[in-house]
Amino acid sequence: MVEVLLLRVRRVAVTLLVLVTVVFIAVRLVPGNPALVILGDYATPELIASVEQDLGVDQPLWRQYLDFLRGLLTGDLGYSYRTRSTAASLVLAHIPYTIQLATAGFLLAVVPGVLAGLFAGRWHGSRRDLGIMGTATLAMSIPAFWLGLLLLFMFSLVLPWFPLAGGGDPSNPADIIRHLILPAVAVATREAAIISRVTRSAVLEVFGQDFITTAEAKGLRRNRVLRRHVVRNAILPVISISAIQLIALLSGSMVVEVVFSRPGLGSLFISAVTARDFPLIQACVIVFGLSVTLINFAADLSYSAADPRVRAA
Amino acid sequence: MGAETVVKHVIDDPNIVSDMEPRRGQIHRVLHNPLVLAGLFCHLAIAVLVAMAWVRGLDPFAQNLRATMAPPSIEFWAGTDHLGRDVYARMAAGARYSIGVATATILISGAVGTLIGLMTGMFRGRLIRLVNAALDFIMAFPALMIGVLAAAALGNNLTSMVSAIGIALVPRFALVVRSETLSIANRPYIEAARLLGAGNSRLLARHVLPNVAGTVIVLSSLYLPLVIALEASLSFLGLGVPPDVPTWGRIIADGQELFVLAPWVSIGPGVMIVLASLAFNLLGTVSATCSIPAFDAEDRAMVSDRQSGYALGVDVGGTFTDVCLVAADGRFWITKSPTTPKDRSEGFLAGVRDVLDAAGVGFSDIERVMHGTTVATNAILEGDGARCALITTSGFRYVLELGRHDVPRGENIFAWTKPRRPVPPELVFEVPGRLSSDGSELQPLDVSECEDIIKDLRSSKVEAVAVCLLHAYANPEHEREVAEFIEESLPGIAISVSHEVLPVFREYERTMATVLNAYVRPGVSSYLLALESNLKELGLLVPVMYMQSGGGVISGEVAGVRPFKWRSRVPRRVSSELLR
Repeated sequence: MVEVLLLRVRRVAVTLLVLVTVVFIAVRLVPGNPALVILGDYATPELIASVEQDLGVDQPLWRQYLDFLRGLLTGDLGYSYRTRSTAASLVLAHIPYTIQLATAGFLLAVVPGVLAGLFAGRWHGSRRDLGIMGTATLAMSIPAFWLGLLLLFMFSLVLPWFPLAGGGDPSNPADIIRHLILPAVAVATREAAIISRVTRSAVLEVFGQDFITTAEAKGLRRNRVLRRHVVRNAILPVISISAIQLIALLSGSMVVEVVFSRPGLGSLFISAVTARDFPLIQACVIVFGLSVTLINFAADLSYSAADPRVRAA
Repeated sequence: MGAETVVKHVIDDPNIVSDMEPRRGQIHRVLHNPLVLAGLFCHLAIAVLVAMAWVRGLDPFAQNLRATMAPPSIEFWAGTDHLGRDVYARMAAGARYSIGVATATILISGAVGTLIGLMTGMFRGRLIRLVNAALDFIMAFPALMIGVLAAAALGNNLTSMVSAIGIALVPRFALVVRSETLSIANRPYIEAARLLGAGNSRLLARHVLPNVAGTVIVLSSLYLPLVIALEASLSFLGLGVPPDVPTWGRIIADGQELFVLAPWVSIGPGVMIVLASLAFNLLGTVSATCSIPAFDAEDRAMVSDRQSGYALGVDVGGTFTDVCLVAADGRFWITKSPTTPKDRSEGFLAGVRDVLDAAGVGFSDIERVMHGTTVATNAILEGDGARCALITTSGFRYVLELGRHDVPRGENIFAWTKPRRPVPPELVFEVPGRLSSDGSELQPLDVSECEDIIKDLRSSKVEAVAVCLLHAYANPEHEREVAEFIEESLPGIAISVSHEVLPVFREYERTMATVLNAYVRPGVSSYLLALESNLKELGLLVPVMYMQSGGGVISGEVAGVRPFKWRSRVPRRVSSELLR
């Protein structure tokens, strides 16, 4: 187990190193002098030279790379071109809103998704199954940003139940939750549908196995068979798809945060991209990449915790 | 006889779909799946909406500043935006861009991904390991994030949109194709092709690619809605498309700013996105279920063996009659009913009727009937066959009694006794006449001798006659003459001749086979006659096929003449013992 853990940790470290290197190279490959971006139309050669020196872009590339790595280790991600505050502080200020949204969205995706999937699998072939799977297919086909707009229209404009925009007052939990519900629904709908479909097919696969026939032959009721024998064996693919869905939630939150004007990491990233604010893009991608890698890592571990067979492999 | 039948096990699950190509029966089934119908309806709806905009000659770019932000009306079906542009016209035009971009992306990234997958699956080396690592790396990150970054870096035009989504999609194709290729590369036919001198490129093109093509097509249909969603999200964010191109996502983004005043600008194109993704999601689901192996290999072989309709399999044993009905889609029903020894076709028909009732199918729906039975075997084992006589060449009366000069392996040589022969020596008659082993006549056949034999046959009340003359396998002339003579004198009696039953050399084996054939034939023919006439009466349209003991099937006519071939599944030891 310890060896497996070490192996996985090593893989995470390599992935992260590759990630920051790719980001470093990509940002420098994009055409355009960052000094010009900062200075705009009033740039003089002297100003450009001094800004370049400030940014360190006059140094050779390997030097810049080492500085970049050193900065990363000390939490220094550079300055945002637009706001002049550090990229790290901007990212830190926006992270809580994204974590809230991802957590709420994850709950709203996993709980109904797994329940619907178990139900559809329990009654597979019936009208209920068809109904659930039809609804899931519909839910999968609705783009999150459009669903967000519709929800805003229905429940903020027509029926003024929820606030229109923003992330809520950080010191007031009730306000945070009121701001969270609509975007969480928008971002979770598609993921819930996918989880329900995966759960259903996992349940069906387990139902086809010999030990279920044995359990039924023993005279166990179908619901008990479902609870005691099916769920435990069907949960594995659900765990792995849940990790993927958590990552999908993170990326889906980018667009939904823009729709709901939530001050999260996603909207920060999109605004940085449209404004070509390279240090900020760099910081956002690194934070996204770090969280994606860590989620994958956690899913790997939980996978081997749930299934003894994986541990051996 | 009222046979009590138990429907033992019924599998009737519409979700079980076999992984065959949809054939006649399957297409029918697929078209009756409500999800498929809904998917086709979505396709139709998009086509109609686009066609109507074209018929009405609507211009998605024409501005009408006198009718800005007009709500939906007869003139503007989906309202107008802040520049007075017809939203319906823009939705219809958006179909061209959004579906076009999605299709192009799928085609290009599918082709590139397949190529990379084939290469990484087939070859080894440092470069391949690097490519694999890169694929895994890209896969670790969500497609939307990669798309946003790539689109931002590549700029705002449709080519960059296609490449941005393509970068995220290529590894998704490549990794699946790679694992398929890896498993195919180890199969014997690849090894065989390699031994025949096929180079790598030929192997990939002629042997691997055709086998992964199906998977790539299914993947494409699954990823198409994903690409539509990605494209919509990116254009909604203002990335990857020029501002004047009305993709659905871009129109929604335009509408977002007017959302309080003119929500219809965003609603129409959103409906189009939902319709398009739904159309491909619904059909993609079906194509994916079709390819998921729901059966184990044995069931699949059984299913793919038939074309369509229902196949009926019947096994009449000594105690039970088992009937199995298999539908084209793989559903099957099994029943077990008691065998009715007096007239076995009764038990047969009772079982068949039950299984058809359970399936709700009529006799005329059956496309194939296969029948195996132990009727002949049981008659032999139980010594319950017809009373029969044997006519053989002068001097060969005791061939049967002598048998082969050994004791079956595994038997106690002191305790073993020869089984009773189906024909006692008193009922073996000799006729003069002799053939050589090459078939030439050494001594002509004397048919007049048969006159006396006929008298004896009559007085001993035999039901069947076997004719087995020396070297008849080389020249059947003498046997035929004898058979004709008996036929004329004793019309209606069942005659078995060795050159038809088992035309091989070795007198004992050929004689035994012919005698056994004569022994079981009356019982079998009457059974077959009753069975076939009953089945025809009940509306069965196809002939029954009978399993041969050596494998393969024969028609009822042949089975009636040579039931020896039909000692179905005689345990080997029993049959070898009988042949001793």
